[in-house]
Amino acid sequence: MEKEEQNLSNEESLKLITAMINKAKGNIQDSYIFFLIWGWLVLLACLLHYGLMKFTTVEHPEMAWFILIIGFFLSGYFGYKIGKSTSVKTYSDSIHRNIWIAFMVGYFILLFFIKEINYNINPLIMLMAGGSTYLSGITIKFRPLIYGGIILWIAAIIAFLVPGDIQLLTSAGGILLGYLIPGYILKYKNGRNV
Amino acid sequence: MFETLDPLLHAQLRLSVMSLLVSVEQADFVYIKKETDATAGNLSVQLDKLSNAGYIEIVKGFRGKKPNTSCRITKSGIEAFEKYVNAISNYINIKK
Repeated sequence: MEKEEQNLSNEESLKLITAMINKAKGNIQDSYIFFLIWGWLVLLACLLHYGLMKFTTVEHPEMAWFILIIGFFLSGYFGYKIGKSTSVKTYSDSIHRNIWIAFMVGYFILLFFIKEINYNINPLIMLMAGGSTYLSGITIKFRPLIYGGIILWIAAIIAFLVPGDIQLLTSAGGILLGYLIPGYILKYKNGRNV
Repeated sequence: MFETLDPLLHAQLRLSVMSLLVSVEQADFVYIKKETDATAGNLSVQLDKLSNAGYIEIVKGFRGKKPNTSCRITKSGIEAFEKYVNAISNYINIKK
């Protein structure tokens, strides 16, 4: 007998509705890739900035942050690729994607006006990374990201209070704990490989 | 007084499809087929019925070079679904 002709009791109907809605809710997309891209790039920028400042005579070691530009291209590429291969688009996916777009615009504006903020970009990057991570965690209901966002906010507060070189190491630690580790946990949960 | 249950929704596969689509923005045919465990032929027929009633919108296009069908629920589909859920809840409450 075809499925559509089966009789449904009212209780069965309600159970069916609940089961199908829960199926759609359990959908976690490949968003971990963005945490890995931005996590590694920001970590690299922190360490490069630190290395250039401590061990070279480069006039503007802050320019190390311009490696973040690579992130815009990689995010665009992977965003397009994921969008093309995804067979379902949930509302939380849309919100999640737009959170990332909003914060990417923020990073871009910060980089563009880096001179105007006297190259003191570090705590602001932590602040914004904390915002995007926290909101991502709330949207996909994933606790490690929520905690990651809080860790990044704490890193931002510390970065505002300490001198430049320590600030960079604080940020590197913040990114590692608040961005990369939750990103890898998400990747592991998703059961995929990059 | 009992409200009549919408016969279009009071069928297992069509109700599964509607419950799935009410929770997402849009879903491909392949995804719906997988989640509802239906055969392609049966699913096609039921999707057409829902689409003819104006409950869902079917968009046929291409993903790369492969043909792709995706579905999304319409405003009247959401209203019909809400009405159905309310009616079912009323039946169950009265029975208790």
